[in-house]
Amino acid sequence: MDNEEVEFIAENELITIIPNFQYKTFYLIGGDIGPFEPSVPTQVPLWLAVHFRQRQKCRIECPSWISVEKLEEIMNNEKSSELFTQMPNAHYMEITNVLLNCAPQDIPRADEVKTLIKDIWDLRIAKLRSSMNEFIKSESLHAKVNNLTLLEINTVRNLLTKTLKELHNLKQHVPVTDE
Amino acid sequence: MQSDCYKNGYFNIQDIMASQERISCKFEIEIPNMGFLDSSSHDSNLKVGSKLDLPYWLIKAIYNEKFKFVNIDLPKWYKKFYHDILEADACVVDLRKMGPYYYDFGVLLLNLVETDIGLNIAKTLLSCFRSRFRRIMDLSAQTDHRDLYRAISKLDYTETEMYKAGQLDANGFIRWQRREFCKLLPSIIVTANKNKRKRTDSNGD
Amino acid sequence: MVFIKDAKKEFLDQIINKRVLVFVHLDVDALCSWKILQHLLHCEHILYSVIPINSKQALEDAYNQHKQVANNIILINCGATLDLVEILQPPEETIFYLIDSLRPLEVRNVYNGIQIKIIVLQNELGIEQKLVPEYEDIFDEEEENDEENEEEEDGDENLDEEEPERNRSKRKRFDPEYLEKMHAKREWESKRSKILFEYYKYTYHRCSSSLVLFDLAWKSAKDNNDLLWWSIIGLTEQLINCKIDRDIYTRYVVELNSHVLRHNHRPAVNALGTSNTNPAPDDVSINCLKISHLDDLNMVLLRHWSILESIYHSIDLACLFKMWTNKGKKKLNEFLADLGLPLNECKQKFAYMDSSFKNDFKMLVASENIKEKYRYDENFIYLSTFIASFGYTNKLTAFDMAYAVEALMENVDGEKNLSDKFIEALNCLNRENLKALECGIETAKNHLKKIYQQIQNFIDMNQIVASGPFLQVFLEEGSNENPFFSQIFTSKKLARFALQSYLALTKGKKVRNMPLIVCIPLNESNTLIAGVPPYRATNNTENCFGLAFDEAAEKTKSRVNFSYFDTSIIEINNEDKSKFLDALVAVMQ
Repeated sequence: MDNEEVEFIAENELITIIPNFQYKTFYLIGGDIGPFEPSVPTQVPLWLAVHFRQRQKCRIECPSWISVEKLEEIMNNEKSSELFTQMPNAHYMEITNVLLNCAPQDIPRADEVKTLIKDIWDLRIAKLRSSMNEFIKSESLHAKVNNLTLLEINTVRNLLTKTLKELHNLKQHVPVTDE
Repeated sequence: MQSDCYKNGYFNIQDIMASQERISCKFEIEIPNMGFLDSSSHDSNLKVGSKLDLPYWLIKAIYNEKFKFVNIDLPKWYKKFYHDILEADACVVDLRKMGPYYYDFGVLLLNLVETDIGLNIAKTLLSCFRSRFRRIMDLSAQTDHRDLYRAISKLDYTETEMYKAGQLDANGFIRWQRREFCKLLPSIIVTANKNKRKRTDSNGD
Repeated sequence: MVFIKDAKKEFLDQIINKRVLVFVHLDVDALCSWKILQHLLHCEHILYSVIPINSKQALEDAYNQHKQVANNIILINCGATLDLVEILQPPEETIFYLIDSLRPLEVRNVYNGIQIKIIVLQNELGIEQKLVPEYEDIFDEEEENDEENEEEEDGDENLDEEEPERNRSKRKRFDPEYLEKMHAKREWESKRSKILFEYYKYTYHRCSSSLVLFDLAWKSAKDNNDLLWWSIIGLTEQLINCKIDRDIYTRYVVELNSHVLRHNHRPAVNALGTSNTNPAPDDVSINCLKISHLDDLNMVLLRHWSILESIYHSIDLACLFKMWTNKGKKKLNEFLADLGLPLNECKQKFAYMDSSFKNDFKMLVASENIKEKYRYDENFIYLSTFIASFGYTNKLTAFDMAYAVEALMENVDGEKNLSDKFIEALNCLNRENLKALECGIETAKNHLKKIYQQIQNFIDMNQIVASGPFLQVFLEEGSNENPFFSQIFTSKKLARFALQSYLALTKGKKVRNMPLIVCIPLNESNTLIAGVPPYRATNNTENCFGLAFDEAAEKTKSRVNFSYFDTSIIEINNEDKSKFLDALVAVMQ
């Protein structure tokens, strides 16, 4: 799976916009969107919000979890906990990336937000790496991890699956002993 | 202990290369008309006691546990001495020197040796793999491979494949972050031939 | 009249869901306008084709090639001064939208309400309408109807022909009523030719097209900082090429400043307000474009050069110090010493100078005793402009950008055709493309150096001579730089620089008010002649050469080609050159 595909899936998340035009409801296969009234906040999928923003037809309302205070709190939680903590949104990295790229003016203190998200990301990836290493070393047959997001899983997908395949090849010749 | 040859398919290059590794063996009987295998003798028959380095696939075909036409000498990389080295610290060993197909060949060898030696080899391979994993994971996360030539040269073929898989992940992530997938690029054939072809209508459409 | 009153309704709403063909003239203002228009077209999902053009012939050819593409055609900074319907022969459904800063507009364009629409700034609509002569004074409706009935088409552009009347006049020759009518008509005709002569006498410029389009974007609520920056650059180019006066420029700057404040409003975190050295921390990402007003020094490309080089190549300062003489160079050194700047600091790039010197420099230049000693005033040394910053390292003034983009467009190095130059210049305007920007600035520096060198040659060899009512200067044949100088804006720049430097070095009173023409050999058979108006403190933007060239050419039957939209630049056959110039002297007495 490509990272672009993960982003595609993430773009289905709902986000609030404030349109400056008027239009009736859209009836799409995935659901209904609208109707649109000027200055009335509406919930739309992220892909549509970006589309409108680029044509200056709306303003994007920053999601409540993209704020410097909230992200600092999350980062501290993540630092103190050994396991993965729950993220405010299953696609936090993709959404912030898309928003910072298309509408940085709509996000207050955008540079700090960017740094914080990156720090949180690095923390979690480091945890993921070390837990992968533990798993391989420990000779256990399966591991369970909670609260991982799809993009994080995607960054280790190739390596982990290949490793486990090779491991399986080698393990076949070692009979399982009772320990 | 039987292990599958050709685990990845008959035409798998990795398998073919792994089974190409040579093993030193001694012939216990005389084999008629096989003298050409020994380049140093001029006899048409293969004499008793001639020591040859033959590829694995050939030996596997003629090896028979009961009759022992040939006596196999395990390559030194799989002997006890190296087992101890690997146990001490697997990460610093240069596996490429020890045959670029260390793991694959080791698994293939298990068909030719007795059970207990084979078990030792198998266990060593497994533990060596496990301890080197961390190193490979760290190496693959670094995206500029030019600095890593020295470290990568110590990896065997399987590990290099894993390293490449890890690199794919890391580079893919960086590409995504830089949003390089958003840009439409012309195909290589077009850019290479751009100056040779005349642009018929340069005004934009 | 065809001036559009509500640009949003009558222009944008009309082209939604239709395919559009855009012709863009190759100048900085048109490029900036195109960028703004492109943004608007993208917002509304309008399909477009864009074609860059340089000359009248190019417009005709491109139109003939592409006319089946679209029925709505937009022309930016080209074609408003031509009789479009006559030249291009468009089909009946085609509508032309003209956005042009060049005046005077062709009267037939103005009064063709069906196929032509002209977009101007909303608050200047009244003035524009008044500038054009009244319909009744130029067109006689009765005559037109008669002409159509008689079907006398002999290709003559004169609308009130006498031919159809002659057939009937034989019957009525001695009718007193008829004689009165003829007398009135003759009077009307002479009045008409006078009006038209006055109207077409001077070519001048009005509001820049980029400002017009920005206004449209603002009224459609689609404006943002980027569009504002482009319209600022478009306005700046008008000042650089002396298309508008300083006061008009300042007026537009004030107007744009209100937009700048609206878009770049930062709530001051620090209650003590904002000083220039310690800006309040911003709410917005560092990568966003930030524009602010700046009273900058009148030194070209100051931030990308050393002070010395910048002063050398700034036209006003070079003339003040008379830089081509040794005395002038010494005076410059004295000036720098008076400011307290050591010479080796001045030779370093401005960005690398010691910061204390940099800060003092700006203030000291405006100090009273310096101003008195070197005889210049505040308006001379300071220019009101805007500075943009984006990312961590890039700070650019509007002038830098305008110079860079123009340099890329008038670049003769390398085999580049029109489209390549167009695309390069557009890349430069795109903020993300820093390499193109650097390339543009380096090219601009080279061009300025070449112009300076040429002026030095002129002065050393006394090539600027007064011949009759104007000054003239000839460039040598076969020189390598002739292709560079024979471009639209470079030739004019050279002419202006030559005029100013000549005036700085001579003391005669008569030459104060003389215009200048420069003759640049193009190839073996043709020469380019460009004329600039006399150098005056105010009102020096009206160019009378268009009509003068026309008359002189007619008198001598010279083979003259008015190939560019700007009528003060012509191409003439070498053989006719001398008699043409003599006729020009006679015409302009």
